[in-house]
Amino acid sequence: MTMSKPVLALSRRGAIAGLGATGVGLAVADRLASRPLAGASLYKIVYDDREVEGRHFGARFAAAGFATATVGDDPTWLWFDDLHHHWRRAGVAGLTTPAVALSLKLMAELAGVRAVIWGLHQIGLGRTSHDLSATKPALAAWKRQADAGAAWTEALHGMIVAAAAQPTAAARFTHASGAREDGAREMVSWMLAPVSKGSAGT
Amino acid sequence: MSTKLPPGLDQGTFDLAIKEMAAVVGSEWVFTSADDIDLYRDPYSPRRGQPDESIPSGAVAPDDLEEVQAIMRIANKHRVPIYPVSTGRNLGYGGAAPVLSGSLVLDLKRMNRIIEVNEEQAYAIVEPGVSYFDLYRYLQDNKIRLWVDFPGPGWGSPMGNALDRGIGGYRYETSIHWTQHCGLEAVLANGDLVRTGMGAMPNAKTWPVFKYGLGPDIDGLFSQSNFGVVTKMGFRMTREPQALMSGTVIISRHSDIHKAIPVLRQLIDQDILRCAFGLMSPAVEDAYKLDYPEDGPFWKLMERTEQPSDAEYDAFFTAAGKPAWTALMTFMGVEEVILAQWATVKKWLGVIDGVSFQEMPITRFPLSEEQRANTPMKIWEPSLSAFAMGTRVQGWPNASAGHIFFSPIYPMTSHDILRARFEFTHVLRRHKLRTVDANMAVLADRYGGIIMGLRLTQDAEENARVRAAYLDLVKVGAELGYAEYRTHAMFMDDVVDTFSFNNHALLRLTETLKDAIDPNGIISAGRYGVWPKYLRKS
Ligand SMILES: Cc1cc2nc3c(=O)[nH]c(=O)nc-3n(C[C@H](O)[C@H](O)[C@H](O)COP(=O)(O)OP(=O)(O)OC[C@H]3O[C@@H](n4cnc5c(N)ncnc54)[C@H](O)[C@@H]3O)c2cc1C
Repeated sequence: MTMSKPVLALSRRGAIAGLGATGVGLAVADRLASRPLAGASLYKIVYDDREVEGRHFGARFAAAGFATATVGDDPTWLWFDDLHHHWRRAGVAGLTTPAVALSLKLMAELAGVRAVIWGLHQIGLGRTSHDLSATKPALAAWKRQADAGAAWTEALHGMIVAAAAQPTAAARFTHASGAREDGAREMVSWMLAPVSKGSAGT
Repeated sequence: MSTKLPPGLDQGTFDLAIKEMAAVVGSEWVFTSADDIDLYRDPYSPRRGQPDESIPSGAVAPDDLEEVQAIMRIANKHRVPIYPVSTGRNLGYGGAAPVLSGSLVLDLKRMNRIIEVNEEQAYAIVEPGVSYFDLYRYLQDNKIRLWVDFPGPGWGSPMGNALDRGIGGYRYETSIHWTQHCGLEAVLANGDLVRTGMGAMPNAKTWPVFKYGLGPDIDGLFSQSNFGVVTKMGFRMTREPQALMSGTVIISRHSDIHKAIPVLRQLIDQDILRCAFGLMSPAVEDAYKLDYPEDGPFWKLMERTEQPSDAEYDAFFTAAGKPAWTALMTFMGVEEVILAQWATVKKWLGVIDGVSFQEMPITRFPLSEEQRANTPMKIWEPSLSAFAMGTRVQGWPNASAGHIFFSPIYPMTSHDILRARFEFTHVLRRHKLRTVDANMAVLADRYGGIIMGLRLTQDAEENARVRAAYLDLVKVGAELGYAEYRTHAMFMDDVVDTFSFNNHALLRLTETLKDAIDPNGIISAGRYGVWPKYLRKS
């Protein structure tokens, strides 16, 4: 596994390195430690319960005592009735379809809440690759678990918990990146958290 | 504090204005740090990270009308350009980022009061920060059986969307949302307050029910423009119908569009077809898929220099083995009437050889909670699902970083529908942009249009090609006589330039008005091509 140096601009991202069954690209968020996370805690974990990886992810957090919610293709009312009332105070993390992740990220940003983790997971036959953007401690947590042979949903759990526990800053990236791999299913892991003072939105 | 400032404004004056504004709204509602400003950049900008990206100098978020007036007076005194947004979600058309880089965003999201909803008279009066979701929830929670017509993603605001003349859709007369506004209140550059329409009479009972007041009809000056900050707006709402039904018309032969369009126009004129509807070709959709060959038959047709003949199109669609056209229509109202409308559609279009019809079951209102939960396509409920188009899509191997909309309008004739599809697809082919969809014609009332999302990536070079293509699309559209109904902030000057009758007489008139109403040019400089005098090209 290779870990890239901290990147300073949007376009300079960690390269994807193939690793047998798992390829991982890591990008450390720029502007590290510019502001502390306001709450440094997690309000809720959102997962796509139609996918086995989503269910593992959700179960792992539930077992650790976190509140969880399921989502399919439409996050509208989960966002409107629940998440947006809370995410200015504490983080929300998830493993969902790219479209759900993107919708929630856009809505969060309009409320001054940022993506502090963004991971594109391409789940192919016999090979899963991960392209991750997060802060240094979060990526280190992922690496530790991945090196120890943990399942990637388990490594995600470690990474999100590390991101929630450490003062950190927003990752600077926009959308899922990396070319699509043939026939792969795609999921995006994300964590949205209050970082700066924000804007006037909710 | 060092900020990106617009021409003519020095840091000291800006800082002083910000200090005075903070005294009005409280410093927690003034945003000038890089992190905060970032939230007001356009997440879908074709020039993101480029030197010419428009970046605001900051944002200020008032809570009420008096605060807006105070901010305008300060901005006017110090000549600080401001850029008002309602919920600032104008993605695809520029987001919350100003046309003039360095302007201060006036973020009206905190002004989110629903002033009144009148179920009996079917109207609402709202502040700028009220979102479609807020209004929808309010209607649900209070069991008010009114609907609000919203745009695709339903995430913005009735006011911001209407002011940019956004579109939605279940009835053509409500689909252009500006047409549904009824009276407004606006703060002018000097802080003065006006109400238009019947609202200009204190205590008028007819503000949101009769569109026109007395004297010149001023409202239009506030849409797609920069003459004031709108702080309240009345909206007519749609009463929940007794029933709703959708049906699809399937036309197998391509050249039968020449027979179908005159019939569709008749159906509209006879008040039988009252929705805006999409006309599209399933076989053309296939050409946008990843596995469709670059030299496939559809692209060969589109690369011609001349529009292919009807016979050539017919041969292509026959070989593709899919219907040439489908149109999805929605009917709403009294059950007997909508059934009769659908029966008439079937009867009139049924005379064309090979036409078939599919209908969805009728939905009857009011719905029980259980029925509501189990209804798959709720056209009355705003949703975020349109954002699926923001991620990966067919025919686009790389992740998308948003899109910009190109939205030309043409007359509802078969000739124009085919011409527009061919010419615009041809331009996109020339720029090697394969995945942009010019396939769907949106038809309503007397016109048709295409709303194309030109996809962006994080690759500046690719985005530069999109920008070049956009300018070409505008040029080709103007040559064909197809103007855009709305445009992205970055291309406003280019599109307004195509409205050039009599040496740009229209622009000269709006500039004259601008100089009179906003002499210091502080509101939304450059919006829809109207620049203040001090920034105007000679
Ligand atoms: C996937 C996708 C699909 C979309 N589909 C549609 C669609 O179907 N139909 C459609 O119409 N749009 C569509 N859009 C574009 C856009 O998201 C909506 O139009 C949205 O409603 C606009 O955002 P808003 O309501 O927050 O308006 P704002 O961004 O607040 O306002 C738009 C502009 O109007 C002016 N303005 C706003 N408020 C004021 C005010 N109070 N005073 C003075 N000037 C003001 C400003 O110049 C502002 O930039 C789509 C976007 C995406 C990403």
